[in-house]
Amino acid sequence: MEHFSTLILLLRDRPTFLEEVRHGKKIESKILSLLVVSSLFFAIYGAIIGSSSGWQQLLVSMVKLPALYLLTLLICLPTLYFFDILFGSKADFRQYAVLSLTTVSVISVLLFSFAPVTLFFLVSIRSYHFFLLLNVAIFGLTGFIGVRLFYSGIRSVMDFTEDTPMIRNRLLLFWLVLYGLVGSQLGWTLRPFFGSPGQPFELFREVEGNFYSQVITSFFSLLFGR
Amino acid sequence: MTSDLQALRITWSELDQVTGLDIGSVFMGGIIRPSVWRSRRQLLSLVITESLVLGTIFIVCFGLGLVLVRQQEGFDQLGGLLLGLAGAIAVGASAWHFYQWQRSKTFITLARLLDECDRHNDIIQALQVMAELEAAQVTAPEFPRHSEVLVALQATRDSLISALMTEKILRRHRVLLERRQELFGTIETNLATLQSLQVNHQASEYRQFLQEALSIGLAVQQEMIRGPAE
Repeated sequence: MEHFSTLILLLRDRPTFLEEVRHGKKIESKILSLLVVSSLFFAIYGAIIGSSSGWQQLLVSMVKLPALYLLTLLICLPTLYFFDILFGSKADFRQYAVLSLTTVSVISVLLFSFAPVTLFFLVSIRSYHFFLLLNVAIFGLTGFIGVRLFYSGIRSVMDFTEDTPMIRNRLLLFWLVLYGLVGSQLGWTLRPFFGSPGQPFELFREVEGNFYSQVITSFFSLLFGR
Repeated sequence: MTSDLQALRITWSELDQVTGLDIGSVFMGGIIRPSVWRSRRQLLSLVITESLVLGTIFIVCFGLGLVLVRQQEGFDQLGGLLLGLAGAIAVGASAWHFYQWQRSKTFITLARLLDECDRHNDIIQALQVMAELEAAQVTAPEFPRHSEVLVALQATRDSLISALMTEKILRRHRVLLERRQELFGTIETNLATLQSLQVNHQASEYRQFLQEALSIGLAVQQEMIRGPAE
């Protein structure tokens, strides 16, 4: 239960949490706790969205959703760390790891909080495109909040002031864009998360188009009923 | 009395500070505490933590595996992928436990001291319960000699903190202390060098004295020879 208390500290008392990160206090246990708790919440939400297409999709989405967020972090974190230390950061890798895990944890908690809403629409509306767009909106909103908190958190921990070189701030913004791009591409590679209605279970889909074109297609399908 | 007792507790943050490690009820600086095997509750906590961590590792590895195998046309070996991952994780977990066992040898003293700290905190908790019971019952007799108990507990606390600090110093300089034979050898060599330097210094001083005595002697002799002639 200590893992959940770390998450509660992050959610309730962010200044204390960030202060502890700045001083390198209990960093390893924070990384472990945030990793475990966020995986758990992602797995629950993954199971909900996967349940729209049967038990096999439920099990696979339960693994795919946490994998998507954690792998995105794993891919992008070295870029942030090495570029930032190159431009004058004094923080160590563990501090970057725990800060980026706060993003993932906040997203996972917000997704978990949306779980009853998603479940409600899953059982009440049988429209694939609506369910898809609803989840795109939920993922977009939670991702935006998570990234915003990460941005303010890292600026606070790294003591960003007016004297801090502008390049570091730009680098941080660039990294956030990169994080979003890698995440959406990885999500596209790992799909399906929902499974198509009336189609048999499939582990993968053919790599065709991209994430953004699919969102636009779904939007028009919902509007014009195609 | 309750506030006095509360102040005598050795908190986790204090233990972190004194030992320089991340201390908890299950782990001490990333190493499993031996007391875990004696307490069912802590053992359960360890099992849950390990299961969750292994589950997370499986999720990440499975996701990575899916990204890699989807490049292969007509992949239908999901069972093989899962089996391979489970095997690799089992081997990794065994290696981690072996590493834990190896490292725990250097943490035996710390583990014992932490157990003593736990006992100290348990005693304080028991006394706090007694004090609360006293406060609840107006007619109950007051806890006898509580000031002496507080002094004894303070002494125990100080001893434990001091022992933990000593252990930290010894642990941090363990490599240096393990080389004590070599260190003694180095000290001996240094001493011999110093002695030889001293001997050399003495010899040069002696030579200087001799030279001075000789030159004085020569000067006196020359003066004596010159004297009668004048």
